[in-house]
Amino acid sequence: MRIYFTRLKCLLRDKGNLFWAIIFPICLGTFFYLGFGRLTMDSMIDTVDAYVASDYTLDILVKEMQEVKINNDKPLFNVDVSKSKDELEQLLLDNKIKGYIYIENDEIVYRVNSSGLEQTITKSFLDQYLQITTLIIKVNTTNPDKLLDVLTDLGNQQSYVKEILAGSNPKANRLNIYFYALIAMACMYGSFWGVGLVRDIEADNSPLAARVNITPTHKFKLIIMYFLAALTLHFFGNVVLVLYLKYLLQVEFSNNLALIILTSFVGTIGGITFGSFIAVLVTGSPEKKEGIVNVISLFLSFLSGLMVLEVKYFIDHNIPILGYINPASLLTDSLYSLYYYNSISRYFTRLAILAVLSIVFIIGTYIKMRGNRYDSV
Amino acid sequence: MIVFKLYWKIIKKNAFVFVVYLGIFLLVTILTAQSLTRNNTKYEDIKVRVALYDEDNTSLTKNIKDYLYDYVVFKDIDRNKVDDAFFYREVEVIAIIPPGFTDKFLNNEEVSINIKVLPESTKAFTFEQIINKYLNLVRVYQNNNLVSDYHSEIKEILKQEASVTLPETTLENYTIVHFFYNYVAYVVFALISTIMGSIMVTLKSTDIRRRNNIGRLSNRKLNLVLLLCNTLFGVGLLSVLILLSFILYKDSIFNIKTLYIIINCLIYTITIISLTYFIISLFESRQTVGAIGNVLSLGSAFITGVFIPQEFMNKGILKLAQFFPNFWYIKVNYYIAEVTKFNFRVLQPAFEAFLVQIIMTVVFIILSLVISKRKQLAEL
Repeated sequence: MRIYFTRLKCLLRDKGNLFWAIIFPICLGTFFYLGFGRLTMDSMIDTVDAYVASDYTLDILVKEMQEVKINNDKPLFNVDVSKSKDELEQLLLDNKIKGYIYIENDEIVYRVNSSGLEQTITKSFLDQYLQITTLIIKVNTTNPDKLLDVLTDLGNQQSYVKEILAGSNPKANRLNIYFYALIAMACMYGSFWGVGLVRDIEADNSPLAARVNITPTHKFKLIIMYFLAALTLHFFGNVVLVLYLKYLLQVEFSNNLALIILTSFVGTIGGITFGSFIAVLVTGSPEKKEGIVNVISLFLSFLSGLMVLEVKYFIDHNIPILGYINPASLLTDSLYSLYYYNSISRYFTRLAILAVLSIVFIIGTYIKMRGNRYDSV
Repeated sequence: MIVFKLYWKIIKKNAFVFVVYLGIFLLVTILTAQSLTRNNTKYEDIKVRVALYDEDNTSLTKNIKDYLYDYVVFKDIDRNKVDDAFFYREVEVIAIIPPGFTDKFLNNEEVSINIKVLPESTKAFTFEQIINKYLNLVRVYQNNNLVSDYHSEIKEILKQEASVTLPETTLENYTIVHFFYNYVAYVVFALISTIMGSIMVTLKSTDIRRRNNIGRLSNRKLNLVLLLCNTLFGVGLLSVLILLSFILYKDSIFNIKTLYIIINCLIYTITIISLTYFIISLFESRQTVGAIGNVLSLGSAFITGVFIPQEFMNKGILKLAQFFPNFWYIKVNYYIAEVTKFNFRVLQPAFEAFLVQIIMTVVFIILSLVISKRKQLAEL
């Protein structure tokens, strides 16, 4: 027990690692929040500005446009018929408007400067107008007696779709993945403690470790105590991060706080064991090990969507195996399952795989460290 | 020359770690580039991406699908994975035609296709319009017994479309190259701050600095030579990235725009080098420099629009973002990607942003020289 407290004190003095473990993720979370905290990437339907050239207009079309509605109180178009075609053309070239409509020789022309959602909505309305007109003319020539019925039927537009809400939450915002990947990264940065653990126990790594090595304390006991000390500290940091994100920055999470904390607990174990495993695999100075652990952690976080969120989806669908062996992806994905699916089974599968990975790391680390005896360092 | 040689010696010694860094960042860049999608160059309706599951399977539902082919993009996605796809907006609409749809529809009973969409989004609205348009037409045809083969008749009518015209100069597609170079902003910052940081810190240990101080090379000259070395090194890194972009996008990159974007890149890289230099002059320890480099590179990338387009971002945040060189770099990239004519008047905003970056560079260099001098004097 004394070893544990001494080690904890040691770790608390390691300013660099404390920074990576606690301050860095919180800084980054704040940046994320500033960048896109309240953002969604989906465009919501809103009234579209439409311009019809005053000198080439068609009254009935304008009237139809003014009448369509998004819902009971919102019109689909805000129609402006005050400018001439020449004026509108100039506005279009200056990128002040996205498009305008004029009617020449009975033909409706929609002039635009780019593709886009607003343009698509406008064009689709114009198409529909033309198509209905065509239908009426056609019926009038082939079945004039049915014209009245057809017109009544046309006037009686029905909706054939119904929005369902079952299963996952359709309003889920995909940008939240960034925050989940951030938590995953914070867990992965537990690997710095792992490197420190190896540095201070393996005799060829530092003078301190050489001294520790000649004490009669069993190596396994040392590893466990050092590990527990790192776990305590890093887990504390991660809980602070989660609480900071959830309550201060109001990032959307699943409501089940206990499971989120559990994720970061397992994640922290994964991170520390991962770090020590890499540290026993790579030979060289502790600085070199830290550099490599840093860049690998960052890379794994990148694969889990930390920088570009589409990357996570791309990996999940094209190289799914990578998602199962990457601790950062497992973490991001378990938080995502909780948030989006409310699915406990998927969540626990991810966490279980991570636990197995951590055990592999521990065993790997121990096997590599166990036999080492030094005659001289 | 001695300093110059020393610099490359340090690089050589740390080559392994640097190569790992560079390799991983290149991999990251390539993966990102792959996950971005390409667009086309003429006017096209924005089509909704739909995953449709037909549980009714009748001639009517076949006709619906046949009709939809022209207006949406169908995504063939396993039903178990479709929720994931929806979350990432690989599909924007999940539509399920329930069993018995056709019977009810033909009997004029109330019936609907179940869709999962983001409520009140533009894509949801568009999709609902597309479906309703067709089914309402079918209903009109059926109710009035107009023709027997309603489907081909309706398709005939739907061929009537408003004509769309574009001014000639617009719409040259450059999006993908532009995104690549936006991303370069992060890579350059992260690579330079970590690699250069660790080289420079080596020279800063007290013993070495004291030894350098008694040498006959002046502090200023030493700093300037190091700055030159760093610039060479940074430009070298940048050329690797530029080369990569030429390989990835060989069909769309040979363009006058690329020239301006590369100039922008070059200025940006130099600005970042001087910024890193400034950070190094402030702090002593390798860890602090690495930490600050990491926070700044990733953090500034998020608030200046590297990962998320500036147009989506909060105006207040963008004001803050102006203090970072990335902001100006990204701004020029957007601007260059959009303009179609190149003359001095049009390019003026770009030149202004260049100027801002250059001023930043000069300020950073002066500050770091001053700080370095002060620290040297403080030593005495």
